Amino acid sequence: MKALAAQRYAAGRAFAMVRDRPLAFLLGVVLAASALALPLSLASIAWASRPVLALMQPAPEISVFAAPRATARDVDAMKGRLASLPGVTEVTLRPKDAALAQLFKKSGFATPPAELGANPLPDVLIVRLALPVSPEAVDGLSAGIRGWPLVDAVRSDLDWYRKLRAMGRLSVTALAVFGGLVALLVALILIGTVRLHAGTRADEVAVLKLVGATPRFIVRPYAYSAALTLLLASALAAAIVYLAHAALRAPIANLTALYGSPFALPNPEPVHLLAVFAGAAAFGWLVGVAGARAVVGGR
Amino acid sequence: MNPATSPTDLPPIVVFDRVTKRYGGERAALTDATFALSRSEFVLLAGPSGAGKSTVLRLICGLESPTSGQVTVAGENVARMSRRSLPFLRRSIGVVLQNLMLLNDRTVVDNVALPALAAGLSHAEARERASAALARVALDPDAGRVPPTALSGGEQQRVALARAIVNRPALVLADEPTAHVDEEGAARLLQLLEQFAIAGVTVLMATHGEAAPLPARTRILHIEAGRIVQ
Repeated sequence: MKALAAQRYAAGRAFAMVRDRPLAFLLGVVLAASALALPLSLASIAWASRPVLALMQPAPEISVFAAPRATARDVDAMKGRLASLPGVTEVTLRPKDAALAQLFKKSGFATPPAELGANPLPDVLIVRLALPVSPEAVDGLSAGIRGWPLVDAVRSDLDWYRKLRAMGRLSVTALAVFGGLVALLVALILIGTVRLHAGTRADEVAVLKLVGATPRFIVRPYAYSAALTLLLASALAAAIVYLAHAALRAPIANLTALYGSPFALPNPEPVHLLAVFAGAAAFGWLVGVAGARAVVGGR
Repeated sequence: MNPATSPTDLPPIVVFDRVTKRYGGERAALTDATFALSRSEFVLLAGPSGAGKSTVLRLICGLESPTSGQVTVAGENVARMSRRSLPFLRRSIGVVLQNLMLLNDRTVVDNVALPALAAGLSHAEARERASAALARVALDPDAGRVPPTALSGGEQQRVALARAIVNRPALVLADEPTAHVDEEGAARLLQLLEQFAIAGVTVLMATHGEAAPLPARTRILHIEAGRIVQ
């Protein structure tokens, strides 16, 4: 009951702050919502795009060229040995006869030229590796296979894979920086609001200190106010995202249909929205505590 | 308290030991002040404006730290108390400031209940105590339902006093409590403070002039230019 009384007091004072300065409060909510809307939209699109991205994500491959003297049985044994290696998800055989037939088909020859003699192409085993795997690990694996008997050559073209990984890392870093900037912007908006409220309530803070209120008791109403600001801001941001996605859905669907993609602009999932609301309120609480402590500090 | 122990047998509630307080590089607001306040004592701190009376009160509350010397309240060195423990000391001190510092955005009873809420009492307990404190300072219960601005200066003074005693403090500090009330109001206020002292509360009242008829057992500490003249 006693803890409840302190919470009730804090909530009451937080609502009083909102009531006393409704425009400042609304401005804080709208500014924070504007900052949150874009990352929320991007996050919901990224979440919905996961299946498409997973399809697009190419795993690194190692091509193992069997020696010309290797028999079909040797190649089968090699395939089994490759499949048993750790991290290998799939081994497919590209037989030399099929490769030669394809070569003729592409070159336009109806029959093999006489000077070609026997099929000069090797049997090739394509090894697919499970993700995530580092280029160094692929290089190590290739070097190991290269020393096997009846292996003529091993090739792992990792340049594209390295570029893809670098782009992935850049995207993650850019998202982290963007997220950090948004969090900083929202925190600055909140701290500004808290300072405004605390500044106009200097008398109340002085009285509270004088009558023996703990710093936590003094700061709590500001934390409630900041949590409420971000809770409403996140709800407003969700509403902005719903409206924006509704307006963009048809044009984007038209565009993606031209590329043969079934992608449709999604709305944030309700469970994710609940997590965003809770996270925003918690972040608001923490920033409110920090901002108010800085203002009401001292003995 | 042990019934066999009289308040005067107990250690002093406030001890100033060679306390000096300077603000920046200016002259000392308080110089080498040494005195003690016993339990249940009524003490008048008398001196002209700027003599250092408010500094003494602020040092007792822990709102200021001495430049040198030591202020002890209820056995605790106030300057050494942490920010966390200081509020607990302040709950045992009731303060009536010259400008009252009543909060006009809430009712009188909410003003008076504030220290009790801050001390962790439930809402109902805090309001109950606030009503009792208002009755103790002879304020009409109806006065509790209005904001302080709806009351006269004397009534506001009594609201501040009610707020000071709502946590049943061992020490009441009053800074010029009779400054803005008429003679009758001042006499009533002094009577209330005397009653608190009789009930076991130590009262330290700062004033710049001769107050209305003082209680018989008043001890007067004179302060001039930051020096206590006993």
